[in-house]
Amino acid sequence: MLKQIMMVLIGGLLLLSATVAHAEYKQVKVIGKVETKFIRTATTGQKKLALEDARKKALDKYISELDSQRVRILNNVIDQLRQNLSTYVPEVVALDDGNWNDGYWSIGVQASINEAQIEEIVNTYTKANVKKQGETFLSFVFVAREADSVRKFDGKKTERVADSEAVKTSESEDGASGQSEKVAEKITGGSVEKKADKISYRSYIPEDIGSKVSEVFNKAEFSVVEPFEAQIDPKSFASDFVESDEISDATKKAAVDAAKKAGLNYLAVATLDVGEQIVDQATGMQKVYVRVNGYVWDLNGKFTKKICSVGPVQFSGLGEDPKVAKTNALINAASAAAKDLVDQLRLKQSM
Amino acid sequence: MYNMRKLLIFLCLYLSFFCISAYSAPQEVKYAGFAFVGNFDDIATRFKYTNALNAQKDENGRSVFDRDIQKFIQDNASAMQGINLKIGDESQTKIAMALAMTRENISVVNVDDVFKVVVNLSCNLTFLNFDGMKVVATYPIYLEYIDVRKEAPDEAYKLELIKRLFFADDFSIMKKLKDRIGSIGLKNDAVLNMKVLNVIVEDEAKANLQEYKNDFGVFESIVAQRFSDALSNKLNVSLLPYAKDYLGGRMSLVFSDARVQDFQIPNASYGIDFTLRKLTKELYKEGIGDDAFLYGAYTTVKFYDPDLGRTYWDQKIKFGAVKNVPKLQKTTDDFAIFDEMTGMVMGEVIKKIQDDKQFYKEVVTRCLNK
Repeated sequence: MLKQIMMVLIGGLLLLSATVAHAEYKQVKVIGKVETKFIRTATTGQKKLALEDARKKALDKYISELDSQRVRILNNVIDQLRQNLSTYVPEVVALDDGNWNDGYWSIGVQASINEAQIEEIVNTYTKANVKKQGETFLSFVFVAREADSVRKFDGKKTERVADSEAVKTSESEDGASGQSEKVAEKITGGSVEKKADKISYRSYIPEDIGSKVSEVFNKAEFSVVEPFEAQIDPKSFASDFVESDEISDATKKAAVDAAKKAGLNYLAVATLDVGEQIVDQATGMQKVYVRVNGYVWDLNGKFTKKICSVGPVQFSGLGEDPKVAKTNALINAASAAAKDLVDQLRLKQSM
Repeated sequence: MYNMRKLLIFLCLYLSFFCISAYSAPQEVKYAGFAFVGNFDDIATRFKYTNALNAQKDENGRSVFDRDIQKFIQDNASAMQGINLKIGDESQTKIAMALAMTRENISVVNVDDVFKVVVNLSCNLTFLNFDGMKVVATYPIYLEYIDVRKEAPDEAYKLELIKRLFFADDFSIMKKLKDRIGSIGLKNDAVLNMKVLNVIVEDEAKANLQEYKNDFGVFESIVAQRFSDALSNKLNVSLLPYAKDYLGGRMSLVFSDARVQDFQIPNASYGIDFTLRKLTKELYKEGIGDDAFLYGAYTTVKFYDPDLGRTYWDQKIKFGAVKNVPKLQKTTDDFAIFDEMTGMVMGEVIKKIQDDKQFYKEVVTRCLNK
């Protein structure tokens, strides 16, 4: 008996701690409905049903606003979510006193979605599916480039000038006097040929983002293998990225062969294009934009497949000086791309 | 068994203590200082005089806003409801409070041989959550000052006037704040909130607002702040800043030390549209020495939920007053009277809300700061 009381007390204590912790909730507004055919008001029981309906609708509305990858993962656990609605939709606050219309009593509510709990169920679900496949090894190569010098060309102008001359004469009837006039006409025209600015890049492997990207993959239960362990040469990716927007086939082939030989399951590659720094009008701080493209190769089968990709998407970073702004932009872009790739990978693995 | 009993007693005591402290302990809030709302680059133009005053630093490198507002807050913080304000002390709290200035407007109009000076100052006592960078609640404060002078006001006069309108004992932002500080508290999460979403000034009203003919957006912002101030002050409801002043729902605060922080303004539970339909002046009675004019302000106020498409209150409200104008007076200051009428019609709206028991119970009670 004492044990049971203690359990209840400990439970209560934990519940209170959770309540006071002020979890961060996302607010969603929905209308809950219940059928009340014969009366124009709702009983206490029916009101409860309407609020329960609102909880379900709030969850559905929240899910429908997520990206497609996340929707697919959550659809796999939708029954679990619906069975524990009070965990995932912990609060519903009525916005009105309810209305009756056409046999239905409805109430507008502001529902709170516990995003931390939703993230938890996504993680648990994907972890369970990843475990079924055993340890998954992944390596990544994220390369960045920025303009080293820009050679600007002025427009090349070609002008065409055509001259022509005409003589106008007039004479009096008696032929004794007359005048002649010389008229000159000048026709001008031409074209301007514009040549794109020649930008030379320098590329590099941004060290600052390595730990952040590793963290994203590690949290998703991938075993991150350093490229040097798998004999992958990130420098060849960097030198390709100086010359072109694309990584050459030769570099890709060498990396994939090395990764397969080392027994990796996946290889993630991302290219980050760092833009010029500007002054942010809102904050007066330095701002840098980074454009990111990324993909993941599945190395498990006979052939290498690009199974998920992200971008091109742009992210910005602010900082007191251009260096800090650049680092922040790179971190933002790299971690967002890694998160997106992880979501897609989770989905592929769970199918 | 004995140990088990001791543990049980300990748990009971701890749980009781926890319950009492959790629900009665004041919320720790850090004082974040004085700030301007808006883009860093626009501060010098949008808040010309306040910014100039703020740039004047004492020997400790503090402006009158840093020093005197902090002192005011320090002296009056104990009057706030359930808030343990930390000024300069170390605190782990993520909740901060700042006095954020949202608008400074000075217009000078030459009427015959006098100069009319109209000043509008708007501030928000804003509670911010640095964990998630969100605006938690705002208490709007609006101050309007109209004066008529023989001489054209110079820059020194304007600077001094703004300083006075911030700090004077009888009529100032600080005085308004002092009157309200007892009702200021940090709402619990279950309380819903309101936000002025749109202010619409129709053509018949615009015709009598020539002072703002170059930018009616300024007048709309002033009306939004003034109506928010009235709702917050008279109904004690929880309000969020006027939507159109913050594009993308983000509010940038520029603090005195040039620190800039960007906060997200959450969606409101209820939206408000305030439409000023017309401002009228009609001859009411002709007299011997003076004429009586009937001035009127016509509004439509709507409380609704744009997300759910529900309208909770949609009322047309007007207010009129008779003003006697001496026949010998060359020019009547109609703007000042229309301005007064706009304020009065807002008071009429509040009265109507209070009288509408059903709406008050259904919506207003859900937003009360308690």
